[in-house]
Amino acid sequence: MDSFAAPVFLILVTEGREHMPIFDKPFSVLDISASGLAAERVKMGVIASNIANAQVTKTQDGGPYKRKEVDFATVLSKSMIGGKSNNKMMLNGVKINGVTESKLPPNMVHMPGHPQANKDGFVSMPNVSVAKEMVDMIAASRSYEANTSVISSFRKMSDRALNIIRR
Amino acid sequence: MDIIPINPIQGGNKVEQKLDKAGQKGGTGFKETFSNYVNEVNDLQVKAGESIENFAVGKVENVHEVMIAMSKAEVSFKFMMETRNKLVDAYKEIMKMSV
Repeated sequence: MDSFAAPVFLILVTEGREHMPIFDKPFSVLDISASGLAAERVKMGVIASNIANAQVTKTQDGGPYKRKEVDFATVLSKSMIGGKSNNKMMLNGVKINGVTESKLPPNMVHMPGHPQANKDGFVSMPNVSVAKEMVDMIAASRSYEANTSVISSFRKMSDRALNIIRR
Repeated sequence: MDIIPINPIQGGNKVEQKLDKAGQKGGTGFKETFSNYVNEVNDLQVKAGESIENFAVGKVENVHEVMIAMSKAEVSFKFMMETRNKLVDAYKEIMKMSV
């Protein structure tokens, strides 16, 4: 599952500098939203894999394809660590904790002519429900949209802030 | 009519020197602070450039990372420009002052 590696957090690296990075805190919103976008993208990849493999009866491990699930976890925004902010106010990004296989049993379908059929004529099909995947897909895409909205709002806010001193 | 050459303005340097001396006593001077600020903005620009390059080469998996690097660069540059405009305005205002 190399392609589903945890998203890399976009943080300004200021190595060899003594002073505090100026834009880390103002742009922490962008970093958090970026982590959200990366997480939703990974989720979309997993859903794509589930839908594409919904009919796969034979995988490399043998047996049918097993539904993959993503597990989100919060990650502390690095840009807030340097500050003296209150612990309760710590802002969190999101990361993919891992992609796990669903433990649900495979769907047994009666197809006697199928090459993978057992002696009773049943084939174990993947435990993927395409309808469920579609719902998950809509949720992931809406969530991605929400994160991009946060980014555009942030940009608007920055512009408004600049307008204070503009004449 | 004689043409009198215009001497380069020396005042700006003097202000900086004084501020530097003040800076040595306690904390960093304004010049250093501002140059750090500009460097930081430059870093973001360089980062945005790098991510565009990576995107062009095909190394980028998440397209939004490029966009976010670009917005960071853009927003920080806007902030820098406004600060700079304000500084220049202040300087002009002082220069206009009648003695």
